[in-house]
Amino acid sequence: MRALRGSRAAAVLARVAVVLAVLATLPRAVAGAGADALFRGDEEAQDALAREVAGAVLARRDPVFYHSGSDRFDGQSAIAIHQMTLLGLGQIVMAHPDKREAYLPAMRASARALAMPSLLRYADTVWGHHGITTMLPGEGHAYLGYVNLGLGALRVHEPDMPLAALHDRITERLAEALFASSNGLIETYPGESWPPDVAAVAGSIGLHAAATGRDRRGEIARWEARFAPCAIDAASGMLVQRVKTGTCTPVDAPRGSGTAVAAYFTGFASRALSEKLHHGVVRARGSVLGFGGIDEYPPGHRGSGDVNAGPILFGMSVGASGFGLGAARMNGDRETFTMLYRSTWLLGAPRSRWGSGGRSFAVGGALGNALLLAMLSARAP
Amino acid sequence: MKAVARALAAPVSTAAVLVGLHEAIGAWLAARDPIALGVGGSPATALAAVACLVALRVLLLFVVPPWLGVRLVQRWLRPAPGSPADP
Repeated sequence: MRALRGSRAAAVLARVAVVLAVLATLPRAVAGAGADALFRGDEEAQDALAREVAGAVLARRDPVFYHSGSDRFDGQSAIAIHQMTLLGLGQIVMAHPDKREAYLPAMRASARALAMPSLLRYADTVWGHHGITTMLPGEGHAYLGYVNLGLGALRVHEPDMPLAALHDRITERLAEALFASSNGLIETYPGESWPPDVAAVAGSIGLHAAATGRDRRGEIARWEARFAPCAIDAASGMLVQRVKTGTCTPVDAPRGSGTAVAAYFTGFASRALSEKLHHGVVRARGSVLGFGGIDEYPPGHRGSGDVNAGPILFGMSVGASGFGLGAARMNGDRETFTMLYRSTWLLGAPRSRWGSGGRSFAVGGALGNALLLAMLSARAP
Repeated sequence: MKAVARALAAPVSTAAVLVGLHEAIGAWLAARDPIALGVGGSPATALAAVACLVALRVLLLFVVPPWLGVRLVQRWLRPAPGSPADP
């Protein structure tokens, strides 16, 4: 090499080689540095975000985090925050039982919030009542899958929790409606059937079974045999985001965000279905220099996303990629998890809070941090 | 050593400024919750802060390190003073 010193061509070549070598190695190493510890489930790595999320829930008096003026957004975001807080903390307590006493107070606070009618104002408006108090025959109320999953996450650790009777009642009503459905789908709101919500319902029934020791494997297998052919797009392996009520006719495209979150939710009920949906997520992966994401739309479909997908960059959505972390961890897919974690690190901007040992994502806010807590600690019950 | 320090002065000082800005915007965003800002009437502020933070992270991860590497190689490839290749 010394002989090459002074040669102009060699200098240009050396610079290009250095740029390429640095780009190919350093960013992926820096951004992925914490991925292994999270994938393994190291207590210190999981605990840092859990502390911040638990602290945020306990510090609030108002269970509704955002006040946009839209009952639907405000209620759904609050439900998602409390549900994901419960799932995330529950998963961490499952992996590290010594954390039980530290996180049960926040889990109880989130469970109490989920049972508050004020979070279900939109459902109350469109159904004329909300499903926590009344579910009439023929009504779906699939939004309760999110509430019920959260309650199940606490029930696993506290079988005699004060909300146990409510958890039993919601589960029975949802199971009755879901297992009687000819296409495996029930409505969320009148005239609205969303397969990802139905996946939450099925997951909540599976988690209730795990918490109470009830064997529902037969019912879930029969439901799965109707749901999968109706709601999963055969060409892409992705879950259709929305179908016409009472039919299997799509009214929206197969979507990455819905598929990834459903792969996570169904992991509580059926490992086979979770794995099948995760395969759909993996097929939609895209990556550059070790950073990647999940396409929101499969080839042949286009759209501009929605609140479930979040921002879409280069065709990949924040929602699909974030939920994809949970699907990947639940299904033991280290490669996908690491690739998605690098992007989450880059775009989410994790930062430590001085003196607390806590760490959260600056860009996430309450919603993003609760979602990421559940996804980064995802595990089958 | 002094020559190496001189070669790296520009990328290192740029990185220091970028890190300072990154910390300031990150702390500001983390204290406010960008979603709350967005739905609370300041979506443009929230979007601008997130975009700035992400842009700073991209610069710090994908631009500054190759720049440092190139400056080091340039320094290494420079002919030694008094050598036949030294103009």
